[in-house]
Amino acid sequence: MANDRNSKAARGVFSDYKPGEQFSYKSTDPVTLGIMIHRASGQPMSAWFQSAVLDPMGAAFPGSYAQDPKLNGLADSGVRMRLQDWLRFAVWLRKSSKEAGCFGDYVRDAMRTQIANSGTVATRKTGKLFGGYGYLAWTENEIAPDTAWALGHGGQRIGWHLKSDRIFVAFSNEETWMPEAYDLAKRWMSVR
Amino acid sequence: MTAKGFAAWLSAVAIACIGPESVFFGASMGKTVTSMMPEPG
Repeated sequence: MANDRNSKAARGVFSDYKPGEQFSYKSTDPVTLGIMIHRASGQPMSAWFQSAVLDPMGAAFPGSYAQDPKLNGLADSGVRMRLQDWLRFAVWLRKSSKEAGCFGDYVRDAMRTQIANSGTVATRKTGKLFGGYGYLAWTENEIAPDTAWALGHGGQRIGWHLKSDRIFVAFSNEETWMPEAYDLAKRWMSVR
Repeated sequence: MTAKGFAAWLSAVAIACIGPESVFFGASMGKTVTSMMPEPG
C-alpha cells in the first residue's frame, strides 16, 4: 500500500484528509468496497460472498444478505446468520489467520491496528472503547487487551484473542452491557 | 451498571466462549459449543 497511487493521494475521494491521516468511521468506505468487489469479480456480491466466505467457512444454515437491485452488496452490514454460523465464521477467521498467503495476510492485518482511533473513552466519536482500527475490525480494546473485534448492530460481538485460540461471541440486541461483556471476554481469554 | 442488570442481559442473550474447553451460555440453547462446533485449530 505504501507505493499505491491512491495511498499517495493528497486527499481521499470522500474525505478532506490524506488516506490514513485521520480515522473516520462511516459506511461509505465499505459500501464502496462492495461495489468494487461486484465489478472486479463480475458476479453479484451475494454470489461472491457465497463462494469466498460462506462456503469456505462451512455455513450450515440459511441466512440473509442485503444487496441492492444493481447487485452491489451492502458491505457495511446486512449479514444475518444463526449463532452457530457466526461461531463457524469466527473459528474460520481464526484458522485463516494462521495460513500463509494473501487471505491469511489480510486477516492478520485486519486484526492489527492500521489507524489509531485517537482520543479517550470520553472523547472518541465512535468505537469509544477501542484505541485502533484494523480492516473492518476494532483493535486495542480498553478492557480486553490483545484482542480484535467485529462489531455488529445492537451488541453483536466477536472478539479474537491475538495470543491464543480463545474467541468470544455475543449474540445480542442490546448494547448496554458491552464493558461487562468485554470484561467477561478478558477473563475467558486469560484462563490458562 | 449493576450486577443484576448485567445478569439480566446475560440471561437474554447468547454468549459463546470458544477455546480449548469451549463453553456456551445463553437464553435458549443450553448446549455446549463443543457439541455443535469443531475445536478451533
